[in-house]
Amino acid sequence: MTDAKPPRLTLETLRALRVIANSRDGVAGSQIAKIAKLSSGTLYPILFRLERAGWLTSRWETELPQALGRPRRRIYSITGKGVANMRPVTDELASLERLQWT
Amino acid sequence: MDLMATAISGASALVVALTASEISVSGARWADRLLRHALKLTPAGERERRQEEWAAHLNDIPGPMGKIHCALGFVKAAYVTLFGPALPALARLLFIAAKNPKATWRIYLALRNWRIVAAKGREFGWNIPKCVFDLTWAEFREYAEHQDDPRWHEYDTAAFAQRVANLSSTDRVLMAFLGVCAARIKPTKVFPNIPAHWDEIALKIDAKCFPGPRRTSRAASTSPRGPERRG
Repeated sequence: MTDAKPPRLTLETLRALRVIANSRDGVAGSQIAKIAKLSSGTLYPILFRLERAGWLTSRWETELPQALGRPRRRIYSITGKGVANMRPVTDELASLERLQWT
Repeated sequence: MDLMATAISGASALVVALTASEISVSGARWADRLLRHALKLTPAGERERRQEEWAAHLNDIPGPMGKIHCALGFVKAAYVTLFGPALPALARLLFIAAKNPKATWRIYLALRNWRIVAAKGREFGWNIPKCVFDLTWAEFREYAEHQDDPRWHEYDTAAFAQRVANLSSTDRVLMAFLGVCAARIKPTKVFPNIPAHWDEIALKIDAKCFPGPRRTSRAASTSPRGPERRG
């Protein structure tokens, strides 16, 4: 399932990664899109790529759809590999975002 | 002048209101249709997972416009995931094409003159929108042509009516116009409100799409396909 090649680290990828890393119990795709301000078309290819690379893991919500009254969400969490790869570029991301807003 | 301005603003308001009501009525259905299209592009092994995941995401989006926008994003995501690995090769190809303009031009001309002969000697040239229409309605066309009556077959009409019965009025009109280009079903039976001179319209479109003399023999339908130079 995991790719040997590391995924490209774009600004969008880092934003999505940061949202996932900041959540304690994992976060669903719709929440990542909302917090990171990414469209679904940008977000999901990133999530698929990161999951294939082994930087993220995902699981279904534990409750059944019948009990929830809606389809189950897929919850994404960051792995140790993801944290290790993300750390060196986190500061760079912060400076890039400062640049965008100033 | 004031009367004219009032009329224009009134008409604009009416158009906006009608569009808004159309979107609010069929927005969720369009989003669902787009989602299904995105799922078709997803590898079979992952389809079930994506279906539930994306349905949950759509469920979290408020409003019909938001849902359509989100579903369009899923289509984009499916295309990017599907063709993403080919993008570096495409970029390389563009780079080579830019370096060799003469060869590129020759290849372009060869493609431009590529003649595809379909059933009954119909030619499909560089008219991409028409090819898209024909592909969209291939299922109807194939059956109708098999019956040697490209305009009418009861089964097709029934299937077509079944599909259009669930669509909004705007969709029905659009579908009817698409139907002219391909299936040649008798639309007056399906849509009682369609003008009686439908056949005339169809003939005009035939004349525009297939300007040459039409070969009608069965032998023509088995003519070789592939790159051919136009004489």
